[in-house]
Amino acid sequence: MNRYVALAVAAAVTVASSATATDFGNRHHRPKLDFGQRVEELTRESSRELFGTLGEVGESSTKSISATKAEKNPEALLTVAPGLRVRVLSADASLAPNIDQMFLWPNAKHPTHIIACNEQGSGQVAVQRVDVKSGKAETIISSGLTSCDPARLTPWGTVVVGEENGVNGRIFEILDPIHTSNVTVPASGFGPSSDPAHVVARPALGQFSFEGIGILPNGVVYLTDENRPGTGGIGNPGGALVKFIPTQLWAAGRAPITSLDQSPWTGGSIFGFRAGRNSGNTDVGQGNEYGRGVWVAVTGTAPINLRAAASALKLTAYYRPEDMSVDQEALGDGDVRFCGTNTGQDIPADVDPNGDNKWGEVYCVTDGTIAEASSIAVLNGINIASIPEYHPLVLGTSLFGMPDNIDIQPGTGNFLVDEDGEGALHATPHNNDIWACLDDGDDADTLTDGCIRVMSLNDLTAEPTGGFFDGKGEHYYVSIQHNITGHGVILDVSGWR
Amino acid sequence: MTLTALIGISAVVFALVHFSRGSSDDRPAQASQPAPVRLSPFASAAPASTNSVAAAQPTAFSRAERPEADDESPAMRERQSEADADPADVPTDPTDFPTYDESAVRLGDEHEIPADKSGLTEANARAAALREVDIATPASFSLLEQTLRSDPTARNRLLAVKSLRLLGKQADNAERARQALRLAMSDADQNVSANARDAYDELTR
Repeated sequence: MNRYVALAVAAAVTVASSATATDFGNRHHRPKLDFGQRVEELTRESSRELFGTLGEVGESSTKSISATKAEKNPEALLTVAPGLRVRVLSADASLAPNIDQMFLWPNAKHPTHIIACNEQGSGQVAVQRVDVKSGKAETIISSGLTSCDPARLTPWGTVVVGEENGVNGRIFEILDPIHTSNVTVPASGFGPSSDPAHVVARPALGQFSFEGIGILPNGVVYLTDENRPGTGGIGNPGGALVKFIPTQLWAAGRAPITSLDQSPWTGGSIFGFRAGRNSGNTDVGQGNEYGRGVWVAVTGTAPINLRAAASALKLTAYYRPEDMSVDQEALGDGDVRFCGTNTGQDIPADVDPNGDNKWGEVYCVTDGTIAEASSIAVLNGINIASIPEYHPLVLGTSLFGMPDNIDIQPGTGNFLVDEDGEGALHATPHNNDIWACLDDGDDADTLTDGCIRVMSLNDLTAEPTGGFFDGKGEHYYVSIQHNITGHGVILDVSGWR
Repeated sequence: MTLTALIGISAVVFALVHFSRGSSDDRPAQASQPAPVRLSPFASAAPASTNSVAAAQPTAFSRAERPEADDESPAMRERQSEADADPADVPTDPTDFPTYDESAVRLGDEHEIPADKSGLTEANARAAALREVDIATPASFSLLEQTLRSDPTARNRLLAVKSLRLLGKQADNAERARQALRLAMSDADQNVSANARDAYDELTR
């Protein structure tokens, strides 16, 4: 009998304890980490397996090293995650101070040079080549080009650069960038350069504030307008996404062109992305920014003012679209996918009453197969040959804000994202970081499966720009833009496992 | 027992009052709701212009492949239209959309400042000015010295130190740059004071 009583008491205590835990566990026995934090912790603990590093950079650096120290040891401008190494590719005094997007020449596997944009005014150097062995910088376009930002190698062997310059932005194409030097271009318009055989503007691609550029092997190119909502008037839309389809597509495997008039970008058609397909593509407007959409024909006489066209055609707008990267693995499967960034505005509201706490995002767009994405079948003003679909991949946070440059690491498919944030304005100033993010996996959502901070600058006056990988995904090159030294610095981060 | 009964009665009374109040609140709101006003941006669409895209031939795609076809049944679409407004207000043909009329827009009409320079906070506007300081002229000293004295943003004072160092490398400017840097060495922000000290030492060597 006593045994039964004891059992009953024990059971009662157990039930009471369970009830207490259930009812009040969160109040009195709060676990150290909540579920989301445990997932974040697991991501960090799996850094070697997931990101190829031996850990992360735990917090943004609050250091700002002096110019004297940075001149002596430019590697010190960057703190990297355990396992990664930093080497100076160039800290040449002649390297322009605001190096932004860049790429390897003549290819990503056996490069001799980096070709880079310098984002300054029309009176300053705009495009340079940097010898990857000596770090010596030489100038390709010396003036006339404003805020050079996007830079890419085309499949036909030329260099394309663009101006992030409002509705006056232009795209330029450069032939033979190693033997072309000190060219000047008109400060506006599409007049000839001082060396028209080697540098020309491309009016067929229209005009807006060029930043994101994603080129397919056949010459189709996706472009974004780095435009802030409200520019030119309260309520005006932000930046749009457009696609240019050359009249003559480039055939893969052909020899590089020998004259700029052979470029596929001498003529073509432009289409703008508009989210919404419901009820005859009419659920368009504020509130519809993600999901499937249509490519709207943008018609006009070249050069088309793409920003005005985007507004008139109700193209979907985003907050300062920046860099983009084409998913090479998808291309290998015959599909089109590219991912880019929308910067947002992250000044914390508790520091500045005008802060938005809009931390930006990384998005990805699919556009069917390469063949579909490159076709034109216009019906009622819509190119129905492909169906674009837009989804966010990474939503910014107070720690990871204002994403700018982005590249996809060959081999892993991970994204490296450079911040262009406002950490220096925080109550405790901190530096811009570089984050590594996983792609979306097989889970139900379309979002990244996790991110860690892999680098942090040690210069509160600078930002990391133009970060990109070599062809094997072993070296990550990044510019420390407008750093404390007063000249450019490009670092080479390796050691990825 | 009495207490339990009272609680039960109270609950019943509360429920009656609550639900009765809720329903009476709803009715006037519905009754006074104005008829929906629809502003259609599509009604005044300009005629489509023709040009570079004219090269694109009309499609041979079948009607079933048209992009406006969605997964909603016609019945559902009809119900939605009835619920929303007069179906005549809902554009169902993509040609109802506005088109870009290039004649209405002149290049350069719009705001031309790049996004990274527009919409700046005051601190960032000051930083932008500091980044564009001409380090070849002594005329820049006054802005840099003023920044070190009064700019509340440490990053901006760092930018001033950066420019002072470069300005001071010209022999004629070295002494004035050193003076400004000497003051900045006592800045409350450790990064600013350390940067100023290193720059001062460099210009003194």
